[in-house]
Amino acid sequence: MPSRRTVLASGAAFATVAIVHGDDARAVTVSAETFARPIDALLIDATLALPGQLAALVQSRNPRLPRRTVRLDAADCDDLGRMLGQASAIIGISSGATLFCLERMAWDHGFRLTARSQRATSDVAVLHDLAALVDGNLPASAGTPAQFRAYRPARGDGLIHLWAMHKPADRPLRAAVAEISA
Amino acid sequence: MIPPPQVSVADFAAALTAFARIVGDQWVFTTEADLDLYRDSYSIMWGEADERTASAAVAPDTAEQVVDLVKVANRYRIPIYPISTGKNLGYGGAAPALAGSVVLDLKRMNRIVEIDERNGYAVVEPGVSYFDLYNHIQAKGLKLWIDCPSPGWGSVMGNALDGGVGVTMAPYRNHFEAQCGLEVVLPDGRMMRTGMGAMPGAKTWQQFKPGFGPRIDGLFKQSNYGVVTKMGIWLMPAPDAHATGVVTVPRHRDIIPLIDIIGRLEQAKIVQGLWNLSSPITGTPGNAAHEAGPPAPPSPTIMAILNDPSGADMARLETVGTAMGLPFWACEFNLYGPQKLIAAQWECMCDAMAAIPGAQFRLNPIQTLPLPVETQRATRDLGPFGIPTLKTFDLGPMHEFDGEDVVGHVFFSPVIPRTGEAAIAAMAAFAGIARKYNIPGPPLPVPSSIFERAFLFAIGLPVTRSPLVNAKIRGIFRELVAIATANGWGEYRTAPAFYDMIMDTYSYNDHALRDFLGTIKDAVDPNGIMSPGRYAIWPRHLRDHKT
Repeated sequence: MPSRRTVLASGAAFATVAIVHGDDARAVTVSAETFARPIDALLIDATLALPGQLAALVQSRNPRLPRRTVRLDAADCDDLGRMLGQASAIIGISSGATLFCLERMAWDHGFRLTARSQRATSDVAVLHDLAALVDGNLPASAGTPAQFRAYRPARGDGLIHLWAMHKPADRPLRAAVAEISA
Repeated sequence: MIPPPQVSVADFAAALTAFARIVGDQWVFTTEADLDLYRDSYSIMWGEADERTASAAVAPDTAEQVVDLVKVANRYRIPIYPISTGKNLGYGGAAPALAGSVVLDLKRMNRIVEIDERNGYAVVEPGVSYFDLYNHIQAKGLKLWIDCPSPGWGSVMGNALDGGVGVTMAPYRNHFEAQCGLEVVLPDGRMMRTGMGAMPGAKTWQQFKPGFGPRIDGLFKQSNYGVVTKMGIWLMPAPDAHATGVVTVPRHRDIIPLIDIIGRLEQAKIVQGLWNLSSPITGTPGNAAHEAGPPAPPSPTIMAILNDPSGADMARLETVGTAMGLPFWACEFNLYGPQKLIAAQWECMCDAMAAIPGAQFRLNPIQTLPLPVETQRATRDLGPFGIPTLKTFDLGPMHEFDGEDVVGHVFFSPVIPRTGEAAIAAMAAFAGIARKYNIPGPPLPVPSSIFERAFLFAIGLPVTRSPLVNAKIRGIFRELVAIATANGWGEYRTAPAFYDMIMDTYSYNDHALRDFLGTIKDAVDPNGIMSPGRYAIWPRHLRDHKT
């Protein structure tokens, strides 16, 4: 019986280690290490119009990967909190602003950003990055330079951000809210 | 492992071991990777020697654990710094006021202790966010509204205790004024309840704020006299309907009678919803709730007047605006209630403001509440509907300042008299500084009417990752504070980097207030373990060291 998780990661080296210097395109994935964790979901930012080519790539590359739209409104944050509580590894396509929020929400559930790239949607390299991301070739957090551990806003926020997060340990600071007495 | 100031490595290690015994090893954080998360993302001192970073963090699950942790902190003289959810960006985030403090992270304490629809209140623990409380109310189908700031991921309690504000009806917007009853772990580890909660079995803890004797709740706002572990908060009955009404007046000086009239309407409780001042001449149309996108930038002619190095000439601006058919000022009012009440309020408002020649009025369609989901998704600002979101982060790419990426902001937040004259003076003063340093922001910064009897300016100064540029921003902040102080305008809230600077401006009678707060500090927290330096309240040993 198929698991909700899509087990894909293997020992293949992470291929997208390009660091392209320029104002509008940078890949900041930084490690050739991989981690063998199943990906629980692909989060897609509702504020981004995902180009058809990218959507098709996700579909063809990994049709069983659960996909989830992120809106960051009240109802969505409630569902997202539950999902983050159960998940161990997530990947995403978002704006910088949405990544800023998601990363902080995910911290409280024990996640850490492990890989990230930012590119113009017209940059062909975005396809390369996305393929690697969806394939589960994610770099481990160990050895990640400090400046890449957390996303910070930048002028490049008009770009598309591809990223991965995983839980190094199960220490969620946030759990489901409970009402003690009605 | 770097211990807190004036604490030995051995004592620090012993304290951490004792903390772990109380909460469990997994809830004591000491690695660099974990402590990075307690840095203030918007710190104006990022990466500098004076950045306020934590030496460790500990996350209790119950008030009883907080009691035990506080006792350990006393035993080893460990400074602890309670945070609720740590999302207070722009005012310090999760970072302590004193570098080397142990952050007491209360996120795990996220229980809604009680919620009472009949009497309109909730009792929450520190980790309950606005999202949590809103979603809980929705799930239970209660006819209650919360009043939330933007963004909505912050703590209901933390925001109130820091003096935070929202945007719905006046009695609920000032969040500390909407609280009713606190449970506090005092610095000696004793638990106390304020107001009626001091009476065992009291049935009115969340219904009667004054209690018996002095009302001491205010001692726990913007202070360091205890760890608040429960708080009652008054909630608003969900209104039947909402509308916005827009009033425009043509001339610059019309703001003076306009503010006077609105003030009278507010004092008489005819105007209760938040109203927003804007200037259609400078590009803000005054009808934000019904605009699809951000306001268009002003015309080059108007920008030239606004950016005149010798100061913006408002008379010239008015002349140009009049020629373009644009009123100088617009006020957008939020109206709540049954439709009959909205209609009656609007009629009273129009009657009163019609005294200003050229005033024009438009009541937008009344919306029945609750808003359908699709309408919510299409609405830019859901704050006036008591619905928390994170949309504030999605306002577009960040700016740059002095060639550096802007990674956040730090607020300069002075309180201005609620008069048109003061608003004109403050706008001129602050716009002058923005022009002088080319600070990104609206062409004409306008005051906010969040507080009922005074204006608030909340000017977000850019924060970068460059120590050089951040030092410049700190200098600009200092200049703004000097201007405000000279005019009698005091800050209501600030980031930790500026606590002492702002407290120094509250210097009446040779700093009598600061000294009194210090006297209380010494009495209730003789070891000085509780949030030393928060809002410039220092324990004796650090106060003396500081001077």
